[in-house]
Amino acid sequence: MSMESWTQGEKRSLVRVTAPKKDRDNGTLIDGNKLWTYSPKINRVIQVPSSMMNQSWMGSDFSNKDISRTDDIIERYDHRLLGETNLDGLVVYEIESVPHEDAAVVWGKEVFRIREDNVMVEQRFYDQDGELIKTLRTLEVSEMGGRTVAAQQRMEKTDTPDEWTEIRLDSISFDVELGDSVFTLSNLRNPRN
Amino acid sequence: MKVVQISFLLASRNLWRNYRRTIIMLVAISVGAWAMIFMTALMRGMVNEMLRDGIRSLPGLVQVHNSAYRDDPSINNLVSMTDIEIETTFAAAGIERYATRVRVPAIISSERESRGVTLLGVDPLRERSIEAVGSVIAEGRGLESIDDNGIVIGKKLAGKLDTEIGKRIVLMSQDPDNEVADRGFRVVGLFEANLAAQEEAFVFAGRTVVQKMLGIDGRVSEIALTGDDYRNVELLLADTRRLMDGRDEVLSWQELDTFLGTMLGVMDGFVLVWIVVIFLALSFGLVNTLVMAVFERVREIGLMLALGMRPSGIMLQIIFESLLLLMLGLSIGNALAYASVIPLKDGLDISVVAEGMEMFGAASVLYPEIQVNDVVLANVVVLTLGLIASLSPAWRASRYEPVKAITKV
Repeated sequence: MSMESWTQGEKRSLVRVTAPKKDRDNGTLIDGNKLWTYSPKINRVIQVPSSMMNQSWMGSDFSNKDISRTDDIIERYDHRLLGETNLDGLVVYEIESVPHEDAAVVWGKEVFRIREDNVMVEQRFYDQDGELIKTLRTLEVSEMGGRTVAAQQRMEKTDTPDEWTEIRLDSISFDVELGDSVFTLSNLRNPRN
Repeated sequence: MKVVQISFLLASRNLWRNYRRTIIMLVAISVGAWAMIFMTALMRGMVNEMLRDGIRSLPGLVQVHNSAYRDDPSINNLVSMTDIEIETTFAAAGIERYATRVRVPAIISSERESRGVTLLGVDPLRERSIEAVGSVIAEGRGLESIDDNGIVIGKKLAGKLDTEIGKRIVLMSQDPDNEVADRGFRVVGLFEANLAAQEEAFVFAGRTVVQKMLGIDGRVSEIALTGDDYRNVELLLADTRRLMDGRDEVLSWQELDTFLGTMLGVMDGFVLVWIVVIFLALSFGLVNTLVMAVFERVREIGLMLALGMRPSGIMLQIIFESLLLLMLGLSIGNALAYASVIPLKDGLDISVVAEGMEMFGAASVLYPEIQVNDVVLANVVVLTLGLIASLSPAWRASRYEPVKAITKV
């Protein structure tokens, strides 16, 4: 399955499926906390209710929450540096993030491994007994669009080691001018760009 | 007066002349009376428990809502008064047993599961005063104050969510602007309810915490009031209506849960039908016994008539006979019924069929309840109908022609 996506700032992004044909134009629009999906088969835009935020995004191993919540982890968690290791000549920081008491997060903790050039190497989700539930791993890092990015990422659930969802970046460009009309419901429904 | 005395004496002696027949008849009447009272007690027990459970899960005998709330239990349909106004108004009116609650649909999720529940923001002290579901804590602790940060969920729900005391869960609902309102809570206690469905349906958190999460400071979705007698809610209803001054919808439990409300009426009718049906079976035996007693004594009756006893005396004698029979039988039956309820005081365990019982909202332990008015009803019905049934043989006996009766072989 191939997709195209646009992101502006930390709040807004739009994802659209381009292939295979039967899934073409399925889309997801994220604006802040809200998430809409569009399916051409039923020709409807649906705002994903909070009840479905924990469910799988388009049948993948990612949940709707995984793709919509981006940076609020910084405010909602307490962070602690577990250690530094070396990987391919770069320092990798291992950070343990424990959600605040009243944060709307079910995980007991998450552990990130982030390279000094801001590429996330690994994100592990633990339950409250400290058991690993799922892992988002970066399999390949490369230079693209002038920056170092995680070019291939894989989400794996511990319970089902034979299944995973992988995202591979084919190309990316930064600092593109995007009009406000990109992140609108009508654009989600009727692709104009 | 003399006639009455003689008739009564003759009747009681006649009763023991053929003691076998009398004893058989006594057994029939007492078993009948026992069945009426005992079975009614069982049914009463079941229905009352259902009513109490229903009222506990509503909760309360009278509730106040925004008039749109019952059609759409959303966060936008709140009671028109703030909780402070409610408190002062009710305190001034001397109403103490009430609870103000925020009640919204929500999603509860743990690491592994998420489910739909009804989130209740409650004041734990007030909640106890109305004996609502959730006040029986099985494990951990109950909510301690109105701004308690913890959450109390049902035991069954904890199992379904694969969570336990001390772990965090996330609740999601909507705020008045339809934005997602969510928050993490730590499970501090598990409650137990008579019905497993209730354990899965409700979660309880401190009221101010929930109000803050939903962004509705000082507002609530419902006021629940309770009293002592669920058969008698008119006064409480009128009082509350007056206090709310027509601003919100004030309904009694019968109107809130029409199924429960109808149940009470149906049960009262059913008891009467049940008693009458048993009596019908019984009455054939009774009439037969009396008719036989009259046939056996045709010559005797003729003789009495010939000696100058009035027909009314004969009639009185037969009626006394049946009255004695009925009263004796009834007292044995009543005593039996009371005696058989005593060993069942701690409840009759019917958990074998619990699943089926739950479907119509009954608990799996049955507590028979003998209600005085049911006992009175059973006795009155048996006595009156019994006497009416004995009228026909008595009438026949009193109408014999003395000569024909004496010469009858």
